[in-house]
Amino acid sequence: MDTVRYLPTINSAADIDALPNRLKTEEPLLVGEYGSLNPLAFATAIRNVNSGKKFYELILRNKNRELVESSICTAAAVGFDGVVIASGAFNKSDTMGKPVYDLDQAQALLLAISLRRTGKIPSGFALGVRSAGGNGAVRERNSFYLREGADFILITGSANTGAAAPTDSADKIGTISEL
Amino acid sequence: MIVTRKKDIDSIREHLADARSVVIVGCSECAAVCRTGGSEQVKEMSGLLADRTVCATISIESPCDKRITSRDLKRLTRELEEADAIVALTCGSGAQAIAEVSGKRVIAALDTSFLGMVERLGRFYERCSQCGECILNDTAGICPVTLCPKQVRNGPCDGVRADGTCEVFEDRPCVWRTIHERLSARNHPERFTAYHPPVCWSHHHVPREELQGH
Repeated sequence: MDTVRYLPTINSAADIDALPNRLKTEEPLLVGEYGSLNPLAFATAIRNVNSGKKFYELILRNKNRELVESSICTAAAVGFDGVVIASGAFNKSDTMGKPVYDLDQAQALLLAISLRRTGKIPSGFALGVRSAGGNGAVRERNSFYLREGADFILITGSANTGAAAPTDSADKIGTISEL
Repeated sequence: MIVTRKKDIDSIREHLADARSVVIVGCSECAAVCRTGGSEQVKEMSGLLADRTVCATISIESPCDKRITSRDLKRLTRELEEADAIVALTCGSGAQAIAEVSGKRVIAALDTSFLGMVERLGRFYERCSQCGECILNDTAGICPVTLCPKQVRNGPCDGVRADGTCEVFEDRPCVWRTIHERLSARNHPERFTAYHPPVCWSHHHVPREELQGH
């Protein structure tokens, strides 16, 4: 897994229109949910920005397990090549809303794997997990993700990729580079 | 211990607008430790409501226990008959137990915050979220459901920073890093990735009941 370019927010259709000028022809793209618009609504336009793989960043924050399942199935149905499961940045500015953390990343991964096993999403639909790098606890958790069936792990570009997972899994560790 | 906070006196007065006589009930257990409903706070409330008749004041040991509340309020039968309302310096469970036992209108004078660990008077820390599916035996006795802002049961999350601190509370270590260190020190590193499934919320539909022996 190589570097995946990352668009964390979509706030207007113009953000998608600008992508062909910002991406190389086959660069994989990860689209996040941090903007005011949901990437799932722009799947067709996102698919057409280049010939690279398109991944939907599934943020677990403020979704219960039913919405997580629906989001995974929808991402597959509208043509994304896979999801990258992320916990989602804690929203410190919106302190009035009730925070929802129904599933953690491990639980969401196992849910997604069960969806793939039962045919609710295609067998080729990729399941990735976003992770951190650099300490023993993270390394142990990343090993868990891979052991349980994650296809790849993405860590932020500045993190220590070498410490992120066992060396025999190096080909499953990619990095994220924000556009 | 149930941690409580005092409500604003103006909101209590507003709810007592048509009550010319009251009985004030305190809690000599949790609320006393919180200094929100002990005998001193009952006396303080009595002074704040001096513009009406305070028929009686009482501090009940565990007013949330209907048996004890029923027993103690029997001593105030006449005063309760005279009172238009009861002011409860207790947790929400206590206030409702008093209402159920007395049949009187109860004005809650406290807000109920959380189940707290007491370090010393005035310093209370949440260590248990009452999730109903305790994983302390896998996590070196540290509850990540409470100490992790995202309540992660299989951590750490992707927000942990390279130096091992939490992305939310940047001056604190990620609790899952602490768990990893403690499990490793105790020679049980294998427990770190013991999988904890999602909480079964069907057991959490309110109001919850625990009917032992039934």
